[in-house]
Formats: sequence, structure tokens, C-alpha cells
Amino acid sequence: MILIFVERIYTRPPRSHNVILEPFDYLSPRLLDEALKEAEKRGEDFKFLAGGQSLIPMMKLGLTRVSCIIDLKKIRELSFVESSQRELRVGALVKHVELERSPLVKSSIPILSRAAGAIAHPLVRNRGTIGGSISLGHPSADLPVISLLLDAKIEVVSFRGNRWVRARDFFRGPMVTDLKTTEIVRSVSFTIPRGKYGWAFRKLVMSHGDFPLLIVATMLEVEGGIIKEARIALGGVGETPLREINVEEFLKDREASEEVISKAARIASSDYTPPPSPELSSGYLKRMIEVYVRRCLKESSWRGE
Amino acid sequence: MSGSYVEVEERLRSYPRVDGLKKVTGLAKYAADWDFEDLLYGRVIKSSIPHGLVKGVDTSEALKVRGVRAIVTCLDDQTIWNAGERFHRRRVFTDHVRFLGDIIGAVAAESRFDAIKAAGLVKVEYQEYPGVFNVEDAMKPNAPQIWEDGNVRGPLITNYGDIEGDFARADLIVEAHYRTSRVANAQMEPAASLAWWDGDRLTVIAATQSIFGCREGIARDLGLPLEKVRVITQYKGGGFGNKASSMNYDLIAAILAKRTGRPVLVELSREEEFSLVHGRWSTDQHLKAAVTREGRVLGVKLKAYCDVGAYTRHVGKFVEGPEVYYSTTSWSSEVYVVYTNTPPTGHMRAPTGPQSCFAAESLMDEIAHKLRINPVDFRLRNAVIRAHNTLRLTSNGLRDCLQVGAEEFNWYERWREPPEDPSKLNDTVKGVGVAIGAWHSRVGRGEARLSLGQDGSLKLYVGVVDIGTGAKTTMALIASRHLGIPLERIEVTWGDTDLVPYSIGESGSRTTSFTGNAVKEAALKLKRQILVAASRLTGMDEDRLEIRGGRVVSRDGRVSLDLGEVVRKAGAEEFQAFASTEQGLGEDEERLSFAAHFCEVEVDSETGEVKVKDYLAVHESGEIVNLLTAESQVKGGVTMGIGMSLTEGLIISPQDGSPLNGNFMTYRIPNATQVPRIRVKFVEVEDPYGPKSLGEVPIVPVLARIGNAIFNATGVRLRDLPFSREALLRGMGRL
Amino acid sequence: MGGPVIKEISFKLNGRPVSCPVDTRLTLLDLLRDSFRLKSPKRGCDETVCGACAVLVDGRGICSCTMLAVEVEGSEVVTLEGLGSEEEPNPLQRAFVELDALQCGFCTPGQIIGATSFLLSLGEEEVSEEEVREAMSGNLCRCGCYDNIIKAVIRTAEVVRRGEWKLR
Repeated sequence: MILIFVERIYTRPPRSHNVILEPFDYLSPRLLDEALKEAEKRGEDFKFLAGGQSLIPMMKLGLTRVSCIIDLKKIRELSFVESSQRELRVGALVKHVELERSPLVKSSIPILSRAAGAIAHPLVRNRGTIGGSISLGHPSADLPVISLLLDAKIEVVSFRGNRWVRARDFFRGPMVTDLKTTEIVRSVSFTIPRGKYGWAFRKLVMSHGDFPLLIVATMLEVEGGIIKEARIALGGVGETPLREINVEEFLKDREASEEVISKAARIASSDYTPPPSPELSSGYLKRMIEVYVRRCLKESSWRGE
Repeated sequence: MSGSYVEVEERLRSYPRVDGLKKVTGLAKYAADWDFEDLLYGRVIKSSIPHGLVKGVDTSEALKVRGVRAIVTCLDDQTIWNAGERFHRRRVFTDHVRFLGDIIGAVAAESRFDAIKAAGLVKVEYQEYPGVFNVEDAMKPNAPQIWEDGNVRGPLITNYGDIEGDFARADLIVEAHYRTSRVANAQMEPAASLAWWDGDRLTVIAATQSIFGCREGIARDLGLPLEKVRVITQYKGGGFGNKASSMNYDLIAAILAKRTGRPVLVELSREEEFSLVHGRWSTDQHLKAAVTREGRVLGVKLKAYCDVGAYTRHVGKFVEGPEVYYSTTSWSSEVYVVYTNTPPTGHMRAPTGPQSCFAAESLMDEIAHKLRINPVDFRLRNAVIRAHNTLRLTSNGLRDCLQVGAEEFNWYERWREPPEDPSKLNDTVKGVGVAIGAWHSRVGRGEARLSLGQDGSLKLYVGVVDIGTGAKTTMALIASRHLGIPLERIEVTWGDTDLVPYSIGESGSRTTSFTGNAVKEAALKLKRQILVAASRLTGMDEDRLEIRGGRVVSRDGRVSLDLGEVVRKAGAEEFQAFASTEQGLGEDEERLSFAAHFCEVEVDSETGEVKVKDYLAVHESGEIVNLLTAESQVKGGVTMGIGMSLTEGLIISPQDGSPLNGNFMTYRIPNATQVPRIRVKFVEVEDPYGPKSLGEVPIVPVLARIGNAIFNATGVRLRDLPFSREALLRGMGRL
Repeated sequence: MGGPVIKEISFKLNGRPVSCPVDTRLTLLDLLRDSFRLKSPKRGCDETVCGACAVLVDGRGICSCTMLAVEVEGSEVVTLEGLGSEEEPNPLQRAFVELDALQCGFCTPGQIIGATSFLLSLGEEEVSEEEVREAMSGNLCRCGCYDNIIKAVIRTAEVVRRGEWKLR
């Protein structure tokens, strides 16, 4: 949620007061068109506000200067969860708690519900939004990892129109996404996985509720003991959330055995060298990739039976 | 309301806090909750270098901020904060900056925005000195001097018996090296102090643990007569030792209030709490034990270095405690206190306790393992009989704690030898551990006043603050018990130096003994008064009368008088009793509270993560006054200990000595998902001085106990706190 | 940049409609404590971690230190002052006192809001201890009352489930 974590070098925050000192203007339009028009008018000089669980702490720490805030929360059309035969579409302003509890999400894409329910703690989940999380694009945030796992399509709108971007093209770098300043995420669309598949989601934290150091999310489709399709998404190992294509290819058409899974986990671990945290070394985190990937794959394989 | 005597007794043993309702409805007012129309907000001005002298201060930019009403700096204020440093003089606003963020001034302004902005605009010119940020560098011969008399003090010595003789006699010498980190008190209420003057009279709403200690300190530092200072603390959000007397922010509030002629609320942010207010120091301890082959520890040698930061408020020996846990015939401790240009240190719940116990009790566990003796049996064999091998203990339930605990925990069934080869372990492994601890239980000065009105209501006046210990309730229960009056009829007045008699407050686990004994005295005095008056009224002999359920009754049931009636008929407005007690232990006596903690941990042998699963804390603190709140104290101490063991450790920057994780997001105190169900059992013994201390002893054995359980589960002995999952994996040969 | 930007907002506070001018820089916590003099939400950390500032906004517990005051326009805000009273504490408050789910009391308002938020979301099923611990994981308590807090919330959840207490 906060910039400091990206560097993993703990620099002292510039201020120790957690107070917003610089005045700023505030608008809360009720229609999306209005919001986009304002954005266009102001060019660079504003920030969008959704759940505020990233923006407001950053403003309070003086990490970001804001001269105008456009609050999106009154725009009703940004808050919906709907599904068709093949797609689950979620409005940008849907809160983590809503994703967690939605019967629709739970039944169609349970891993999404699970991941949303594991973000931070309940008081944060009651405000944070999927649009906010995806727009921030933190490399070890839960929802960006899941969107990558599920090959989500992100709907981006501006005053000039809308476009769809695939998750894999959306996250460009640490907190750098394909969004331009005057654009917002309007919705995220997930293809509902068909057939029998198992999934697993785990994250490494120093303390429950912490910002994760490592996230592993997997999906396996197993038929007759053979892996038909494998998906592995990782957070915290690189500059963006990543799909472990090497391992996915390795697993395809192989037996869903302990040996194969162990080998796959070792391949995943060898591909990355995560930066150290103040408490844990790079070597430890690298080893944990292997442990977590292995455990997730194992869980996915028996869940799928 | 009446019932048999026994029933009433039982009911009185476990009573909800008398201020519970105020806290759950939001009516409890803490220091920053007080409101005044003309309130000003105060913020501190901090240094931007870790070590140097202030040469000049330019407040011109800061004064331009519209709402600013006063700026004070080290150039125009020389007030000494006497309680701020144990071995030297420390100013409220320093001109010799000794750590990054050291306070050099303060601002008072109409709004928080203005105060914070102005504080940031003050320009300071420094003559910078190099800084030292760890013990090693601070001890080098040409290290920059933080204090005129050097960076190292000591050794502070604790000695008894014939140490060399015992070492010569020993069959076995076992030694090990332990390290513990800095820990922050991190109480939920950040520092806040509100002060205002009325002519030459100063009132401070201080978030303090001791209103009388605070008042004395403020009066002394500001050069005021005691009667001119009033300190009020109605509610306080924890403190765990860092607000046990007057604090610099109390003085800053008073100084700013004087300058502006208005009430000033000085507040620290959470980050400032971490970096400016003192916490627990780190230790580096080398221990050596002389042991017989039957498993008797004859003596222990200890050498320790403590990084105490730029200032230290601790008044003890920094590493001590275990020399009274065992029946050792000798002990020799040498403690070196080292200053560094890092945040200050001072008292945190059992200031020397957990870290000292960690080293000693881990070593004992290592010895037991070497000699293949069951850890509980080993402690039983070596439990203290006479403190320092000479002092008689007023009461001693340590063995009972171990035996009761072992039975309750099913220790002998659950314990087995640790694994030979940890690298072969799979998945999750479990282990159990035990550790003992003790904490002093002093006696001293206390006062209490009771007043019985014509309506039969009883008022109790005590100078406690009740930072969460339940002191008000405990005091009221003591009065209730000795007077035979139901708790509901007692109204407690506390927390205001103008209204209540002296109490040491809550620190050093002294309240229940110091003030509690005064309450008991006053209650007995009042009881005497009542019975004498009742005797006159009824013509019955005093010893045929007693007070039960709030009425004076006779054994044969013929007399039953309402207490208010007794007062009225005696022709008095009220009956009053005041007691001032000053107790001291005999020269050859020592008084300690004891504990034995047992727990089971679960270790994930692939990640090194440790979960504490089953926890049993057995305590002996003499007589327990209020079971409900006593249990909470134990659970609280255990929780804090779990934090110190597994997730808490202040990381100091090697660049500038500042805390790198000085906020709640990165300094992780335990939350609801990380603490197991904690079972508490009390072993009650009679002590001539009454109930013993309980507030601090619960944290003492926790760290060692978890470390011992980890060893039992994995065969790996972790000697550095907090326990690192990575270090555990390495120890297991798996990384 | 110019001076502070002031917006006029209207919302419902503890059941009453209110309106006031608000500096955009203020957080909801500042607004409640300083403008409305409601002191129950506490400033514990100001960084969304400790939960001592928690209040209910539209029926959900949130950290008021991480919400701008202006954002609350049109919403319903409930603080501890709006739940139960000293004369008539509600079942959750009574459970807290009877089971000693508090010590210094500073985190208590936040705990009660966090628990109330959880209780408001309850369905028909029985709650597990794990669920309750997770639900309260955003409320820190340094005095270490977790054991008793969990017991108090579990007990009250049963009371709610049995229909003996209808929450708003």
C-alpha cells in the first residue's frame, strides 16, 4: 500500500506527523462523464480517490502532493458485480469486503473471493477497492496477482473513450501501470474458469495482516492424473506481478505427482532473486518461493480432484 | 444483597472493573480528550542530525506561520529535566544533540497544522560531530564522546558467595552468549500532556502512571513549591513504564503554557513515540555456569553490555533478576552500560526482567539438556530457597508453580527429547518448553482515606491512576473485603493530586502492596470507628458485632443496623479514616513474586515460522485480590512477551541511528490472530505483607519459555531475540 | 498554493442530521474529535494499522484516520457515543465489562466498533473462533486483552444469532 515497501530499503519517512499540510481542492461528481471531463480539464494536476487506503496514507506522509482530488465514490455505475455465462465483471469501486462476501464471486471464481478476503485487515477491506488496487499496481499486491493469474481484462476509460487492456500488458513496473493520468479503471473482467480445476493462494508475511513479501497463486486443471493446464502467478519477486511461464510450460502434460511438482517449484525459485527485507535475506525469500509454489501446486492438485 | 459470608466472599473474588462501563461507552477521558475553548497545540522541534552542538536557531520563517503563538528553543530555555537521565543532567531543550530527533525546542499554535508546519520551518545551525550507533563503535578509544565522562559506565556489579570456589568445585562449566533487541513500549495512547496556569498555580493533565511522582518532578524542575502544582490523570492508555514520573512533554506543555498564557496540549505522533520516548535497551550477555554432575547449579558468572541509547532513565542494573531464581550459592554479574547516538531507553514492563531471564533460563535449559535431565525436574532441583543464598523469602511458591503447572499441562507426558537431526524434519513439528521467573515485590509508602456518609455510602480516596491494571477496582475490593461492605456501595476517587492522598502510582508493580496496604489499614480503622459507635448505640459489646453486607449485625441476629444510621445516630456528618503506611522489609528479608510458564509451539520446518499453541502461566503472588483483573494482567504480560519473542525488535539505522521501523506498520505488536488461548492458574500462599506484585512478572519468563519450546521441537537453540525464522532454518541446516 | 479549501458537508452523525464547513485536509477523525467533540475514536497511530480510530460509516467499521472528512458527505456515521449508554449498555458492551475484555481502555472504542461491524455482517451460521480473530485483526491491543475480547465477541455473536439482540 505504501511506497516505502517497494524499495525494501527502509528510508526514514520524510515527515513523522501523518498530517496533510498542503491544501487541496475536492470534487465528488455523481456521473462518470463529469469525472472524466474534470480530469481532462485539469490534465496532470489532480488525483482520483477511490477507497483511499493507499492515497490518503501517502498524502499524510508527504509522499505525494495533491492539489485536487476527484472522488469517484458517488458514481454508482462503478459499483457492480455481474456475470454472464463466461465472464465475471466487477466495477472498479467494488470494495474488497464485497468481493470477499459476494455469493456470485464465491461460486464462480473462489480464488478471487479468497484473495480479497486476505488483504490487510477488515477495517481496510471495508474501504479498499479493486480499481484502486489495480491502478496502484504494486508488485506484491493481492489483486494485481490474481488478475494476472486469471488473465483479466481491464477496462480503462477517459473522456476520449474506452479501451480494454489485458492484465499482462497493464502492469509495467513497480507502481507503474498502463493508465494515463486522465484515465481510470472502470471495470475488471474475469473469464470464469471452466472444467474441473483446483486453486491455491498463499502469501508470506512477517505478521498477519501485513503487506505481503511474497504471494503465490496457482490454478491446475488435472485430468486422469495429468496436468492439462497450469497457471502460476507470483507477487513480490520482480518489478511487477508475474506469471511463471517457464513452470506453466514445464507442468503441461506432465503427471501431477509429487516429484513433478517439486521440480516445478525448484524451477520457479531458480528464476528469481527477490530483494531482501529488513528481517529476511534474499536467500531465504528465494527458498520460500520454492516452498510456497510447491505447497500451492500440491493444494491445487488435490483440490481439483 | 445479603447471603452467607462465604458466598459474598466468593463473589468478591472476581469483580468487573469499576470503570468498565465508562470505557465501553466512550466516556473515559484521556489526556488528549480534554477540551478547552482557547486551547493551543504544541509540537516538538527535533534535531536533524544525530550528534552535535546547536550553534544558532533561526525562527523567523516559522514565526511567519499565522497561527503560531510561541516558539521556545534551547537558546532561551535552560530547564533541566531531572528524571530524564540517570547519570547526567539532561535539559528539556538540549543544545548538545545526542540522537536524531533530540528535542531542541517546541512550538505552540492555534491548530495542529500550524504547529507542525512551523516546527518544520525552524532552521538550526549545528556544529556536527561524528556519531556512534552501536556498542562496539561507542567503546572504541577515540570514539566521539556523547557525555563528558565518556560513553561507558560500569561495571554495575551484583555479587554474592564464593564464585571462584564454586567454579573450582564444579564438574562441568557451561557457557553461552545471548543477544536481545531493543523493544518499544508501544502503548496505544501516544504521549500527550495538557497544561495551564492560573496565576502562579500550574495544572497538568498528564498521561502519567504516577500523579505524585509527576507532580514532584514538575515542581522540582520548574522550581515551584509542591502545593502550586496539580496533576490530574483520570484515564491513561497504558504506559508499561515509560511514563512513570514527570516527562519532558509535561514540562514542555507547562513552559509553552507559561509563555502564551493559554492552555497548551503537547502531543507526540506515533513515530515520535517510537523515536523519542524511551523503550527497552538491547543486551549482549555472556553467561557461564558452574554445575555438578547431579545437575545442581553452584554459581553463575555474567558479563553484559547494554546499548542504552543517548539517554537512559533506568535506575537499576540493566541486567538482573535471575540471581534470585535459583539456589545458587554464588553469583557474579558485571554489566556495562554503553551510550550511543540512538533513541533513549528506560523502563518497560519489568525493565531488566525478560531479557535477563531469557539468557539465564535458556542456559539452564541447555544445562538440563546436556545432563539429560527433564527441564522441569532441573528447575525443581535448583529453585531458590534463600535469595542471594542468605535472605529469607517472605513467602515462596516457586516450586508449587512448577509442580502445579507440570500437572495441569501434562508436562511429563508431552515432553520428549528434542530431535537429533533437525535437517531431517518434515512439515510441522511440535515442542514444549518451560521457564521460571520472579520479580521483586517491594513494600513502601502508601496512603488512603475513607469516608462513610450518613446515607451509608462509602468513599475511597486513593492516588492511583489505573493505567489498565485495575488498580481502582483492586483498592476498592480491599476496602470492601476488610470492611464487609459490598463493592457497589463504594465510590472511588482517584487521579487528582488535589483530591487524593499519596500513592506511588502504577509502576514497579508496587501499587497493590504500597497503596493496598494503606487501604487495608484505613479500612480497619474505619471498621473500628463503626463498631465502637454501634456498640454505644446498641449497648452490645464490640466483639459481639460485625459488619456484613453493609450492615452492622450481631452474631445472635438481634442487631441489624444500616451503616448510614450508625453515622447519623452518632451525630456525625461522616466517619473518616486516614492511613499512611510506610513499610520496609527486614534487613535479612526479600520479597518476590514467582511464575512458571509452560507452552507448546508449532514450528513449520520448511519456513521456520513459529506459532505458540498452548500456553499455561502459573503464578504465585501471595493473595489474589481480584481474580478477573489479575488474570488479565497475566494474559497481557504473556502477549507482550510473545511479541518480544517473535515479531518485535527495533531496527536501528547504521547510518544515523534512527529507528528504521518506528511505526506500527513495520514494528509489529501482536494482533488477535497471533495469540493463543492463555490459561492462567494462581497458586496462593500467605505472605506477612499481604498480596504481592503481579503487573510485571508475567512478561519475565515468556521469551525463555518460547525459546526452550523451539529447542524442544527442533533441536535448534536460538540465542538472539526476536527469534528469526531464517535463523531457525539455518540452525536446522535447511538454508 | 492558496489557503485552505473549505467545503460544506451534510451527513448523519449518531442518528442526527448535521452539517458543517470542513477543511479538505482534515481526516474524519479530526472532524469527529475536534469539530464535533466526540472523543471516543482515538488517535492511536494515524496510519491505518491500530484501529483505535475506528467508527462505523454506512454500517461498516473503517479507520477514520484514513478517511477525509469531506468524503463522509451523505453517509451515516456512528461512533461509540451512539452505541449504548452507561445506564443501558448494549449486550456487546456488557460482555466486554463482564469478561474483562479491556484494561487501559484506550483501544476499547475501536474494538467495540470493530466487533459491531462484524456482528452487523453476521448471517445464520455459527461463528468460529478463527473467524472472530480474523474479524478483530485490525484492532490492536497492547495491554493484551485479545483472549477476553474474543470471548466477548463470540458470546455476543451467539446472542445476535439467537435473535435476542436486534442490531440496527
